[in-house]
Amino acid sequence: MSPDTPPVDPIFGRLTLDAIPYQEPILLATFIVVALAGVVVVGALTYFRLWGYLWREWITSVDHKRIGIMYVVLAIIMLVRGFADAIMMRLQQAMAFNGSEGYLPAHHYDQIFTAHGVIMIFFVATPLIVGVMNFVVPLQIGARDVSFPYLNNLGFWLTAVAAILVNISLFVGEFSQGGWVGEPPLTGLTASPGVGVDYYLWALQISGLGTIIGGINLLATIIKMRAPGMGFMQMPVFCWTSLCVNALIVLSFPFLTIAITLLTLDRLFGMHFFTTDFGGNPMAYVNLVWIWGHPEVYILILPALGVYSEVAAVFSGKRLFGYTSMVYATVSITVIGFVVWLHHFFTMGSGASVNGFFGLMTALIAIPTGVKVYNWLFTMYRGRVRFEVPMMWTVSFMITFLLGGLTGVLCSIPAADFQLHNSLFLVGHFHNVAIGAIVFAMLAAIDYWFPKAFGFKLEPFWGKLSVWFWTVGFFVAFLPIYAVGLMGVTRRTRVFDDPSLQIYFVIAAIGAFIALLGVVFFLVQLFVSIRNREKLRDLTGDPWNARTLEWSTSSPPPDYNFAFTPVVHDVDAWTDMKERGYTRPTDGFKAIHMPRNTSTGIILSVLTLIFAFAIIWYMWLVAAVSFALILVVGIGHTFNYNRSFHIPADVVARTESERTRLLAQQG
Amino acid sequence: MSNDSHAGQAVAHGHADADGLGYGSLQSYRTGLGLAAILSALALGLVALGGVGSIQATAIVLLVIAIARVIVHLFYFLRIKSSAEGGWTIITTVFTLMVVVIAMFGSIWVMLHQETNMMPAPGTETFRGQ
Amino acid sequence: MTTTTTISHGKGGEAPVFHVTDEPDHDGHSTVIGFWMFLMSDVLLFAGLFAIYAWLGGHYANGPAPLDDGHGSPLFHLPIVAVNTVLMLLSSFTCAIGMVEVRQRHVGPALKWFGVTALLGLGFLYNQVTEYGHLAEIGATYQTSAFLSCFITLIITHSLHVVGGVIWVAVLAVQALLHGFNDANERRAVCFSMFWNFLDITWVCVFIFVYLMGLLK
Repeated sequence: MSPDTPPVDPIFGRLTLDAIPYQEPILLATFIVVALAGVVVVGALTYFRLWGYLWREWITSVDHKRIGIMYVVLAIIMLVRGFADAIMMRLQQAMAFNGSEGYLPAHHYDQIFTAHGVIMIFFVATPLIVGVMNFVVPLQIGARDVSFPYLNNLGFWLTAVAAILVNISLFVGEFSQGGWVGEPPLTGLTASPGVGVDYYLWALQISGLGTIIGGINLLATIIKMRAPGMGFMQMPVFCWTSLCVNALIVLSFPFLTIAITLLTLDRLFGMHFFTTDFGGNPMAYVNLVWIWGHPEVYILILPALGVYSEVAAVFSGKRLFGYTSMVYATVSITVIGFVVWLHHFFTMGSGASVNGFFGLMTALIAIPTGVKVYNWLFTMYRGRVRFEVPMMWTVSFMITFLLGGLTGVLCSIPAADFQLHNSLFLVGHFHNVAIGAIVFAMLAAIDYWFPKAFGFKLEPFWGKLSVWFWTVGFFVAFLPIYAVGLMGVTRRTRVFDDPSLQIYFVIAAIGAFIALLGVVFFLVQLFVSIRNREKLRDLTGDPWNARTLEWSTSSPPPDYNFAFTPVVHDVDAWTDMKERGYTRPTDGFKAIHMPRNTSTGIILSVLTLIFAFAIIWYMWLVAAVSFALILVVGIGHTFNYNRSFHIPADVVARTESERTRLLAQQG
Repeated sequence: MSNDSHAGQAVAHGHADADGLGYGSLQSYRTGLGLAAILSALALGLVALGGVGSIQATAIVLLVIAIARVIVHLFYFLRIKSSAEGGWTIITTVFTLMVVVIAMFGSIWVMLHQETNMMPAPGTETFRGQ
Repeated sequence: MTTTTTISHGKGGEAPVFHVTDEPDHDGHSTVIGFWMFLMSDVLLFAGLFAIYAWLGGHYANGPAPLDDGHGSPLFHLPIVAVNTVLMLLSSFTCAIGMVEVRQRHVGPALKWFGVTALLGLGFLYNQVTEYGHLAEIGATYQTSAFLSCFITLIITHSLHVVGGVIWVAVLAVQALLHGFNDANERRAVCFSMFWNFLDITWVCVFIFVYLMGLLK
């Protein structure tokens, strides 16, 4: 909204029917498919009368287990869209040689690579790790829920609504073309006057708010709600990584908030933070956003590394090697991760001393990471390794991530980075670590904790297929990309001049399709397992003979998690209990205090969605009204003091004796 | 603190710890008010009367006064101490300040080097008199 | 170590106990530390704004600057800054006195002191509004230069937090009149006082690093 913008319609702002891209065949086809799928889902829910169930048991639930599952479901749905973007890009790059322009015009291609990055980072990786942490951490520390169950619900719905906003941009208006980090001046008002960047900024703002809320929540939970006897050095390693991750979230996300808020102010009010005139400096945005951006990637990777610690120990049948060094390594990565951000813009003229310092610090992070890898290897050494699906993911990770980490150290040398910056080599590096560590870990986590969440295991055959296809697909897709990157090909290129490169891109596209099969097999695994769930049922609560507290509960756990709060004596508390002849209490149950459900989370989030959409399209009246409603609903919620109830002792007793009966049946 | 967990502790019914945040004696508030008033007056007076020698020297004195004033506030009004909330308020504050220092001074270092190495951008001229 | 008497730790041949049999309610035990963490994130937000002011605050684009607003007088007025500082400091003090009354569950006196706090806050806001008005009058808007964008955004962000605080204490007053200072309301009052004190701390940084340092010659 620069000073010379023409006045807009009071109700509809700058929204007109032209905003709907009905002349783009790909978008039209996508819309028809999505609309049909939507109709089918809504129809099925209505036909099977599931709306009440959905509202009561999931939408308004404050149970960390339900919220964790919803985060993961959101992530899987967005994975499909993000992967579709990837396939489209691979196809375009494989085709666009010898005079062909490919099938994607520039403004479309640019939105695709931006959306791919935004979706994969903010709406796949982040919800996956937040969802898994939400589900697992309270159970692992012996707590009944997180510290702030209401805020947990709100945090989830804010993330979901931000994802919806990004998807709306596909059909109403356009998305940003400025890359997933959105650096000005490309994303400033002059170069991008349309709604695309505004959609991007508001989606990030809303999901960032959801993430910070979640961060404060889990941090307080781990600090305050650990079971008696569980000091910090008796916590599972996954809880340590969660502690560090949530601290990172609280400490780094405000910088993202500032960066995108100031860019929004530049665009909405014509301010001069990141403009190229009147004293603005685009590098100020780059600096701020990467102060957030680097801790962000550690936020994504640390929980993944925590998952591998859990899986490696359980499926090697022995205690994790080097618990103390693992903890120190995690904390070092957390701390050093704050002083490396400049490696994202070595080429921007900071000079040798600055570049040298940040390059050194970046290379140093390889050390604690290496300590972790050796610890996993030594855990497996002389253990009785069972190659269940989670363990296969772990082994694949160790090979894949090793390559990714090494290429990272290569990039960390400023002199080398002047060649590699923004080349496809860099793209290879970050996909290597993202896929090898984060995606594989989350798929392992889903396989590992699925029986706990739903009461039956996942069919291993399709899971193992998924591991192979993902791994092979990754290498076939990205080794050529590393190669052309080293040869000097820039990232985000749509059309190529040099025909000798085409073979690399064709191979990469084939690799992408192989990985796509990996995704398909994962979805097939879910479908087949649900169909065969009685055969795969877990009745003991401990299908893997695991080591941590969550496996002492039934599968799925009761709403209250633990009838009695456990007392912990050692790391690997559940193994300790099993080895020392623990017996489940069968009487003396007390009434349990639980928080009530809430509709405020989803209502506030929907209002936020309306507010953001209105601001993007300059619909000032709608924005003002929705903002006022947000205040009213939010403040109104605080007048409700009746937030909890008690599960009566006899209900607890009945649930527990039902479990005792099932366990007795197992013999 | 490491073996401490609050699940069984008597932090019952949501009272903030009796010696924790939010509670202090009237005396400490009066002392805090007095100290803060003196420090603020010092800072204002310093600038009103033209400073102490060079701009850098005055800036450093102001920085010290600012830090002192913030500490007075933290200790006399907010009553932050190592026993409050099991010491976690101190830890989180230390981590936050660490990040602030790294981000602030790291960035100033970076931006200064960039501005030295790059062409001056339009609009960075100073106005007459400054 | 935990203090409930229903746990033993397996001394001398006894079987170790693996569960607690009696535990008190934990309602609201995380509120203070959780809110403190939110305040830390707010500190970082302001740190980002101060950082941006540090990098871009000297870019006046031939427009108004702290010592010269283009019309011969300084842009920053020391008397108003002094008044604002006094208002904020006094309001922290009255807020703290209010908290003493809250701890003793005296609704009337507590609300009286919080009311004074809110009034002092409103006085501060009135001064800020007149300052923006003056800036707009002489053509010093946020579109004029990077310095003004940074300065005005920093001041407005602080003022918006003050507005939030005033609304908060008003809502809290209504809730205290309805339910007295029960556990939930007491927690809210503690959080409010933490928030309000942080606003004063932020103002200290604003008035020293922005106004006073800007006026050095």
